[in-house]
Amino acid sequence: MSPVPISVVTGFLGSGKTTLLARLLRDPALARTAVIVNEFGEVGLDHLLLEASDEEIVLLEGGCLCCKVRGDLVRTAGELLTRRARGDAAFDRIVVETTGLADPAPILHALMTDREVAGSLRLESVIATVDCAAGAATLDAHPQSVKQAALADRLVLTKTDLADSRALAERLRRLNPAAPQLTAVHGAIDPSLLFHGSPYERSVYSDATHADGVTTFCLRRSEPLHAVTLTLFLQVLAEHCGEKLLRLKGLVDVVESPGRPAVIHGVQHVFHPPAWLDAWPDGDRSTRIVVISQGLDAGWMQDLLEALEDEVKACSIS
Amino acid sequence: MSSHKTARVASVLSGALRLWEVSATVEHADGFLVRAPSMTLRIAPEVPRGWLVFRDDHLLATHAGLPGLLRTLRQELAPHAPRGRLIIGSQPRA
Repeated sequence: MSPVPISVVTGFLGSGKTTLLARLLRDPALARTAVIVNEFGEVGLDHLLLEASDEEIVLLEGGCLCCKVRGDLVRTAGELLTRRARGDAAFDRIVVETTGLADPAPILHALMTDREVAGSLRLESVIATVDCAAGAATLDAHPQSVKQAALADRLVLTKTDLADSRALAERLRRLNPAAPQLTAVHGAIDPSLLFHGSPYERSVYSDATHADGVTTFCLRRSEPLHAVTLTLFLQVLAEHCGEKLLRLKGLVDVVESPGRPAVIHGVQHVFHPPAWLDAWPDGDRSTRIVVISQGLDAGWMQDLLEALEDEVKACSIS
Repeated sequence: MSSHKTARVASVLSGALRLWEVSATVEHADGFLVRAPSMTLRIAPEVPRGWLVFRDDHLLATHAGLPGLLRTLRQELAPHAPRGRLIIGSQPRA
């Protein structure tokens, strides 16, 4: 059975996550979607605003996914997968709605690494909603909202009918230039823009950007890398960069796999196993690694990659 | 090692020190001298490849490559810097 795609909808309090999801679930394209809703309050309400059959919406109450109820998330996802395998639940996709206060990183770590569920799930998309009316003030005041936007594959600007979105859009572009910005008015949006397509296809841009303490840049290399260099590179980053490395994703030209690039994708120190494409997605055959970080230096990372490849090459030749 | 590659390794070492918030300098000296307020470490290239790390002429460690060398430097100069571990998620089941 092929892995079930799972997406995470995050965004600060009141930024429109539930409105977006409620609207999406009415779209026939997302009819077969199971939803896991995490609410922070004593009594959950958001799940009541989502219209779908009861067995496809699961509420996680009493704490935040990123700290208190992460185990519940994994357990719930596992139960959904078991029911699906038995034929008791019919869904093709899972969407997790986080609390507005959640740090998405530990949630993604749990979904990527848990022994029970990770092999049956495929992380499809991280979507962050940003409210155009209050978004700038929220980014100023709440570092968690900056992290939510920085880690996203797609940014959805909400309440664009209430406020001019241009300044916020530019700020978000500097914060996370790899994520396309979409607009949802009262939750209306084309689901195919959110859930389909590979997030790696957009890993192509050249300008380093800096905003809200988040630095984003793209490492490039025209010559292929040895596979072991890639492993050593990720190992060094995971060991020394800690939480300064927010996200890394890219296409890598690997010596041992000519014409079939590796897709790499990690959140902080946790990485998916590399996936191998059958061919390059476009005419650009160079390695491109997008790094979203808090204070990491692009030149250092590029030098590290090149120095590791120098060492590996020296071993290969002798 | 070519001067270009030596400069690149020096840049990697300097960048790592900044990352760990260690106040130290990296000098070229038939290898490298890393001078921190608390100690000076000498890093010498090992033939045919690899690195030797000395403190006060005492051999601390030998490493085949940069990952190990960086680990030793961090242990000596920034033992309290956060240390992570690479985790690769599960392979999708067939």
